[in-house]
Amino acid sequence: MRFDFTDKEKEILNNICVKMDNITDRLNLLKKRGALLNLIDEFTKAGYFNLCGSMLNNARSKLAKKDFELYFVLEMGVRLLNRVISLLNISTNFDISKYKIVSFAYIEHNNNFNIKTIDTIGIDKGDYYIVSGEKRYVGFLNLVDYIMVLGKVDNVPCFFIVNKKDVEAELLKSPFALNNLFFYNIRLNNVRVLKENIIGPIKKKNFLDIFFHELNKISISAAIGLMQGCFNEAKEFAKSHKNNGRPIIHYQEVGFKLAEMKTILDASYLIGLKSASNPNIDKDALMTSLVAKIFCLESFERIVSDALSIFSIHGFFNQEPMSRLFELAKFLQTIGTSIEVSRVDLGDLCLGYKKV
Amino acid sequence: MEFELTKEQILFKKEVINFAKKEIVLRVREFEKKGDFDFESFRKLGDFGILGLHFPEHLGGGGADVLTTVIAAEALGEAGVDGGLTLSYGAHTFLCADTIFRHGTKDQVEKYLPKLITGEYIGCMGLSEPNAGSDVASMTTTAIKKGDIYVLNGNKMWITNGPIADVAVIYAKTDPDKKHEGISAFIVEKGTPGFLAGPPIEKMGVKTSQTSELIFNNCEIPKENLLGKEGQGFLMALETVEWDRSALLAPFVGATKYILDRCIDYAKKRVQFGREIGRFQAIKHKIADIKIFYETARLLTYRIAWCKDQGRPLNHLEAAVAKLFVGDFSLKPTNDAMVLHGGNGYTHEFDIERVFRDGRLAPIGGGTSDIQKMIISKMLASL
Repeated sequence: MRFDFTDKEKEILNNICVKMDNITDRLNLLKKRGALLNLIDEFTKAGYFNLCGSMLNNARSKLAKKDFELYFVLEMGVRLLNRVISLLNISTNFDISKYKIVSFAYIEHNNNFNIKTIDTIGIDKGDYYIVSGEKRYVGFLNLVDYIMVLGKVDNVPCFFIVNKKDVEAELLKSPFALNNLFFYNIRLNNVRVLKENIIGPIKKKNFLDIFFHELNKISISAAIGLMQGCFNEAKEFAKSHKNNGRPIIHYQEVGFKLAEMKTILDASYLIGLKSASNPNIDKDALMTSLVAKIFCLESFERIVSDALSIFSIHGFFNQEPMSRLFELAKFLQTIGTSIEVSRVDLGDLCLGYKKV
Repeated sequence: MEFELTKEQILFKKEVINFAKKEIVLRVREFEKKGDFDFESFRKLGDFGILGLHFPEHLGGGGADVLTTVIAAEALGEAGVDGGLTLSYGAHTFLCADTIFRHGTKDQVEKYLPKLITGEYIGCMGLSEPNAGSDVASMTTTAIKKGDIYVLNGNKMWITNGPIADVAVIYAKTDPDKKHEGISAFIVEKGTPGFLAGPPIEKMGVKTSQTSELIFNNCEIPKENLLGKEGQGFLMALETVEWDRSALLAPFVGATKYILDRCIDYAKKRVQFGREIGRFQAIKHKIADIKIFYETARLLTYRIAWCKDQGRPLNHLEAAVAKLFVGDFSLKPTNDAMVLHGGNGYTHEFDIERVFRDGRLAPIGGGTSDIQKMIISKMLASL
């Protein structure tokens, strides 16, 4: 066991952090595809997308803490596609380098974690498929050309690579915490998809587990970074804000709250890193991932709630309002398997009811 | 970072579990029911090498690192060894023997360690007093030097192994006018005139460990029994309590794995409404929550062990965090395990209620959860 990074690892992480610190004009990045592609190139050169294991988790947490919306786009739009291709070991007929940034569409009104009930279907027409279905909450369509649409052909799941011009998209009101990103509901109405534009068919039985495992990692890392930021702000506030002539950190109500926050933050950090450090997709890896998902995401909610108590009214008006982080905590609980489903899955894995 | 145990550590852990299941666990219920200390099991811990695992081989120890030692302690809990025996082992090895090893003279080490490592001697440590728990500096037990002897007067309270110990490490004020810097540590042997142990105190849990008051009434000990130098006792005690917050926590963490396994077995065997109760979501949630606590608690416990292995003498923050987490967060999983077992969980026929009772010591012994919060918040205020 080693509970610290080596000097070499620290150096690599530090270089990437420098790149993150140099990000300017973030709103432009989230609105203009060209600017974002340049940033992706820079991050690629700095090695951000080559990181793996606990180093990746650490770098992700730092980026999420710095700019969650940008983090969300880079992870869900860039890394996820590469991870899916690599984890599923799928031979693809298309040139993946064409798809520098994409949106994933996998949530349906009555389904988001069960292959059997996916309603988006492709009909085989020889050289192409005719795809129909509806997907919800598809992120940042304004920044992409293609959408990876989860569907089925002959009851076997796959991702259809769909040009965004071919779908009907309804812009949604963005959540308060993500007000610089755009989310859409999309409808595919007999969309023609060439056979070379499909990832699949995916015959792995636990395909969705693997996919959600990746999504969970994105939410876990973000939660750790955001709760670290939240805790640090609360601590600094408690040290500087005075009541009755002394910093409020010296009152046991506040000091003890911070002690509890620090305790669950440390536990989250460790279990998050442990989860990230296991490259396998076996039972142990999935269980650790679910443990991390539940613990880190619930801890984030608790920490930000406690931080709001410490900040009191100030927490709603800071430069980075705690109230926004509270919404992010709840939002991240829904990325990947929800907390509720994660608990059931973890219980099933412990009991041996679910096989990997 | 690396979070996996080595193959050797995994194998060793299995060995400890197998040993404990074969040699100790079968006797737990009998001794727990009587509230008696199991001398035979304690000696078996010595024979197997657990009592001296982290001490050098030339003294009869195993030469293991702290992490391996913590893994062994965790394995005892995981096998189903009761918290009483593991507490006695912890107080003996980490609070008594380790202090002598680290701060004793060559003569002291050679005289006591080999016998403590085998279990021939049982050790204890006396720090707390009736009116001085976490507030160590307010202790009133004195050790006044008179020529070649020290004369000890005062009372020590909540002493694990007190009634059965052959050797005690006792903290007392050599300079009563000073606070922390007036505290020194001494070795006191059983049978020394003026040294008495009170009767065992009846407790909620950890029943097989014997806890008592220690009474010093003009107890004369040779000056050679001073550990380290005068005034160094408080620092020794600080080092000692880190064991309280690592190796002594480990059996509690291991016990969580024990009850997790029991819960899984029970949930798959118990049928209600025509199906295994494990098929109900509420049961799955409980099992998931126990698993979550176990996985996170063991990482925090391993981390403090790893910190000690790096040669960092004092790791207050990591230690307090681990202690607070195990102490405060262990209530729900052990309670969940008891409720999951229904009426059975409330009986002595199942071990769940025993683990629940034993675990209630975790937020108290070695510094209460509130004390851990004080330590953490003070450190945060200064960072």
